[in-house]
Amino acid sequence: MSWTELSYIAPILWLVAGGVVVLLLEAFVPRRDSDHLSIVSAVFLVLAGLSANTGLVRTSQSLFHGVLRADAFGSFFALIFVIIGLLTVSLGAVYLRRQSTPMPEFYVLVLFATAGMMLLASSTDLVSVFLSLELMSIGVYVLAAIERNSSRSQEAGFKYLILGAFASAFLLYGIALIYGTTGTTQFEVLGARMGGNAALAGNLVFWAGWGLIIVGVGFKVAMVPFHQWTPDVYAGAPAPVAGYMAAGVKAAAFAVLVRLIWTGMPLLMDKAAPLLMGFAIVTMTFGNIVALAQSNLKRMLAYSAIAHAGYLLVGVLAISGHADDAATRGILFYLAAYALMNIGAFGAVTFVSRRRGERSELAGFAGLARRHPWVSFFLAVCMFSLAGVPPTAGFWGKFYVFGAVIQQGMVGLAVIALLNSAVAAYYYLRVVVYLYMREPGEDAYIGDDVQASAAIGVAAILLLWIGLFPSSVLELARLGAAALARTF
Amino acid sequence: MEALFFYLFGGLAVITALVTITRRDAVTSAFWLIACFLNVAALFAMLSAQFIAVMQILIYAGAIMVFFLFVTMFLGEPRRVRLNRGRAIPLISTVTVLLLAYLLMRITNTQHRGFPSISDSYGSVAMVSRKLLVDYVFLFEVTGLLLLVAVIGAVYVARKPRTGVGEGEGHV
Repeated sequence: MSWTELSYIAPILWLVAGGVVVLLLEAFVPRRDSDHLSIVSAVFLVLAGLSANTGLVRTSQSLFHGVLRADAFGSFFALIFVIIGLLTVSLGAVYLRRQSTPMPEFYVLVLFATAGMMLLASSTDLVSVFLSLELMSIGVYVLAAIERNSSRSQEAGFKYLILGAFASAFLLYGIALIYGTTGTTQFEVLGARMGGNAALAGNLVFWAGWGLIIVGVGFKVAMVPFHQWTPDVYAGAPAPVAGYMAAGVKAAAFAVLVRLIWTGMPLLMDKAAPLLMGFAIVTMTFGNIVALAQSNLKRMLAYSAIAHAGYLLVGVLAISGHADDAATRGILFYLAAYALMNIGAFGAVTFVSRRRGERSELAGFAGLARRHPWVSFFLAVCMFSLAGVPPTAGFWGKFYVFGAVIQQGMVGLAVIALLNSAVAAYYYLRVVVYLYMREPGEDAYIGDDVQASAAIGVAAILLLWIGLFPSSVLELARLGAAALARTF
Repeated sequence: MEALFFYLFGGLAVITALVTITRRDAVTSAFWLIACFLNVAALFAMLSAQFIAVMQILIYAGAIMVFFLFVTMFLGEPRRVRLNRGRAIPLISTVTVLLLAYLLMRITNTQHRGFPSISDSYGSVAMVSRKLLVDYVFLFEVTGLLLLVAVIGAVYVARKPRTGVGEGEGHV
C-alpha cells in the first residue's frame, strides 16, 4: 500500500474519515440536535466528490495487487454516490429534526455505506466485491431500521437483513465455486482463463457459480424473482433511507454486474443471455403491472424500482464488449438519472411527513400544487423523468439504453421494454394528475420544510438540466464505458 | 509413532462426538463438542495444516461454541432443555447412515492417482500471513471497517431506544 495507490482511492478515504469524525463528535461532543453533524458529513462528501475527479483523467490503474481498479468507470459512480449521499444527508437532516430521539448514527452509516458503494464500483476481485457489498448492505440494514419506535421501520430492517443475509450466502457460495473451478478471484485473470479454456465452458460447477453470483446481485437490484423484500422494505424504511436504497444500492449493484459481464465477455453473455432476458422481461412487466394498483406513493416507487431494474437488465443484455459500447454508456447515464429522480420522489414524502408518522398516501397529495407549487413542480419533474418524458434526464436514459438494444438487433426486447414504459407512464402521470387536477381532501398533506424542498429542487433541476444538455453527462458515461473496454 | 497419535486423536474425536450426541443436557453436550473440536484440530495439525488447526480452535472451539452457550443460556433454564427426540429421528438417522456408507464406499473405491502435490509450506502460518498482510492487506483493512460498521449497527439496534431528548440519557 503506497501513497500513490492510496491517493487513487481518496474519495473512499474521505468518506471513511468522515464517518469516524462524525462518530467521535457524537460520542465526545454530544448535542441535543444533530444538525451540525449533517454539515460535517456534507463537508466530507464534498471533499470526496472533489477528489473523485482525479480518476476521470484517462488513467486505468490496478491497485493493491489487483483488488481494485481506479478508472473512469469507478469515478463516474463515485460522483453519483457523492450526489446521492449529499441529497440523502440533507433530507435525512429534515427527517432527524422531526424525531423525538436523536439518532446521529444516521450520518455515520450513510458515510460508511457510501464508501462501501464506491468500493463496490471499483472492485476487480470477487473477495473485494463481497466485502464491499457487505459494507454497503450492513449500513443499509441498520438505516432501514433506524426508527426505533416505529414497528414498520423495525420490520423493514429485519426483513431486509434476513433476506439480505441469504442473498450474501448465495453470492459467497458462487464465489467459492468460481474460485474452485478457475483458481482465481481476480476479474482480469478470470476473464483471461475463461477466454482460452474450452473445458470451462462445459463445466457445470463453474456455471452454477455464476448463477449464484447473479442471484446475489439480483437480490440487491430487486430483480424478479428475488424482489419480495422490496415493497415492504421501501414502504417501511424512512423515506430518506428508501430513496438512498433505491438510488445508491441499485447503482452500486449494477456497477458490479456490468463489470462482471465485461469480465466474462463473450462466453458469459452467450451462456447467460437467455436466462437474463427472461429475468429482464419478467422483472419489468411484473414491476409495472403491480405498480398500477398501488395507492401509496412509496409502495408505488418500490414496484417502479423493480421495473427499472428490468429496463437496466435489458441494457445489460445489450453489452457488446466493443471499444465504444453504447449499452454500457446508456446504463451509466440511466443510473445517474435514476438516482436523482428517486431521491427527488422519496424526498417529496419526506417533505409532507410529520413528526408522528410518515405520510405517503397518494390521496393526500391531491391538490398539493395549490399550497406548494414549487414542490409539486419538482415532484412532477421527477415523475415525468421516471416515465421517460422529454425533456428530462429519464427520457435520455431510456433513449440511450433502448437505442443500444436496437443496435444489437434485439428489436423484440426493445419493443417489450417500450410497451412497459407506456404502461408505467400511466401510474407516474397519475401522481401528476393528483398534484394538479384533484381537489385537496380534508386530510391533504402540508409541508413546511425549506431544506426538504431545496433538496427535491436540486434533484429536479439537475434532471431538467441533464435533460436539456445531456452531452456532458453522456461524455462522462462514455469515458466510464471506454475504461472497461480498455481493461478487458 | 504418527499412526499411534492418529489413532489416539481420531479415536478420541469419535468418542467425544458420540458422547456429545448422547447427552441430554445441552450445556454438557456443548462442552463435549469442544473436546471433539480440539481432537479434530490435533488431526489437522498432524497433516501440517497449521492454519486450519489454529482456526479450528479459535473459530469452532472458541467463537462458535461461546455463541452456542450464550444462546442456550439466553433461552433460560438450560438444565431443562430436553433435546428433541421426535418421530423424525429414525428417518434422520437412516439418511445419515446411508450417507456415511456412501461416503465410505466412495473413499475406499477411489484410486489414489494424480492428486496434485502441495508444497510443504501450504497452509503454514508464514504463507497465510503473506496472503493476508501482503497480497490482501487492503481487503484486510476493509474487513476491519466492515466490523466497525457491524458493531455500530449492532449497538444501535440492540440498545434500548433513547427516550426523550431532555431526559439526560447517557450516550453509548
